[in-house]
Amino acid sequence: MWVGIVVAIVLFVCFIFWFLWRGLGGSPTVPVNLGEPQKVVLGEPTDCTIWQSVDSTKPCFHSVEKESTSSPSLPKTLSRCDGLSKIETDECITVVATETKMRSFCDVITSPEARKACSERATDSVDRHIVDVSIPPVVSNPTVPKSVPDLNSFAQNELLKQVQKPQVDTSDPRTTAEAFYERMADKAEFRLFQITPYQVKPGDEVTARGMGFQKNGNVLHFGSNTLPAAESVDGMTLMTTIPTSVSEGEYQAYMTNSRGSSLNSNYPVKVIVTNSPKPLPKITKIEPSVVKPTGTINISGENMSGILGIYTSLGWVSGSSSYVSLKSLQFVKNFTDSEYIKSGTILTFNARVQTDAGMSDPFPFQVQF
Amino acid sequence: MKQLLWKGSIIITAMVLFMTPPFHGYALIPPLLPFGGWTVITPIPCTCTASVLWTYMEPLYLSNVPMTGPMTYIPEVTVPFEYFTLTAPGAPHKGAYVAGVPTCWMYAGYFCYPLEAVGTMAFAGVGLPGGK
Repeated sequence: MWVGIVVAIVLFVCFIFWFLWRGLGGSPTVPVNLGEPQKVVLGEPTDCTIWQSVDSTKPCFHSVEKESTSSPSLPKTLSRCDGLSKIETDECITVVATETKMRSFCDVITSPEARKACSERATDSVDRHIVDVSIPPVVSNPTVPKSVPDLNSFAQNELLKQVQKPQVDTSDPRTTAEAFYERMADKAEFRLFQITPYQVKPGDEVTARGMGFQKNGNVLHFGSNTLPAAESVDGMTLMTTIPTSVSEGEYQAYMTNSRGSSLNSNYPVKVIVTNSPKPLPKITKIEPSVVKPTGTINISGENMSGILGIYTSLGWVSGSSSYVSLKSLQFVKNFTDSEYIKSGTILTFNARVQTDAGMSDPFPFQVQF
Repeated sequence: MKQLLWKGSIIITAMVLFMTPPFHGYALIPPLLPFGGWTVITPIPCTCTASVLWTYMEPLYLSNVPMTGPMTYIPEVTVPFEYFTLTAPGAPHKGAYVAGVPTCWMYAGYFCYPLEAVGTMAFAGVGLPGGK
């Protein structure tokens, strides 16, 4: 009996690891060799000749890839380009041709330049939607022949993964995450916005937030102290430790790196070094839960004594009151004057409370326009 | 015989454990995610970085479920595509964004605080105001 239990456990463990392995993409990918390979193209559900699922929202496979370059008989594929302006229609057709790798779709475009660009993009497009799978050689009937075996779920999932990737033009190097963060480090305005926590004990770690931080070589200036900061992966945050030798007091902070200095006399960034930091305010409730743009909200919470101001996504008010009339906020008019916000629309915003201890975390409230 | 089975089971278990493929690691850099939607307000300039604009999108599509929310545009960082009028009120936008990165900061006397947004546009194409 014990032997049986042990064998069952081993089999169960094997199954779990096989399942995880498959989920992580460790298994061999398509092609699935079930016979003579034939190209199968993933198409739109309306163009299916071979359905993979009874669920019409899922992609399907159909045998439209042919060696000849004759005009494809898939007008429905271009139906999504209907009703657009001429330029948008051309761009839409180009996208469809690129996605399906069907250059002949480009023939529909009337402008010679746009047609040429479409052909080039369709030719150069990454062959993301084509896999080699084997199906019986004759699939001319648009209905599903009984003899066609379903692709196994793994092959189908591989195709679904490819479809669900964002449709990004990977040929443009500016459209990658790496390029975004490079621009953030090299092109964005070099600024230091905030050191958190605002009240910090000597020896504690702080986070500096800003823009234009270099990956290495950033120095945090802290009064007369200079603190070499750790590397910034995203060009916006980095961490460092306040030395225990720093005496208590209020300091102005700024950063320097190979791009220069972040010092901005109009918006000085300050931080307080103290051995007894005060607790931050914390909003626990905003009433009413939904307010009109002409209404007033009341903010309540913990550690709220000595309010210096209330800061919301719609603007800010200085003073010690926990009541805020939305009409007094600077950016409410951007919303009330907009012709694109329908009457009755409810949008969500955030509010924060500032005391001499620092600023609370944001708390949401809703406004009905 | 019983001892042999025990040893065999242990060896098989050990083999399975050691044959486990390494788990995939991911870089710290968050990926770009697709978005689309309509801006509905005149954008708000962020006081700590005057060039950065904060706008509200309604509806905002991050999936096939419509929602609403703010997005940030940084002229030096966001790549505009045709028709290049990013944050124009009423214009449809389609592109990619980086989620959860506060880039619009407002000044509050002692430091700047972030105006929360769904994300920062990495690149986007813009239609005509009121267009589809």
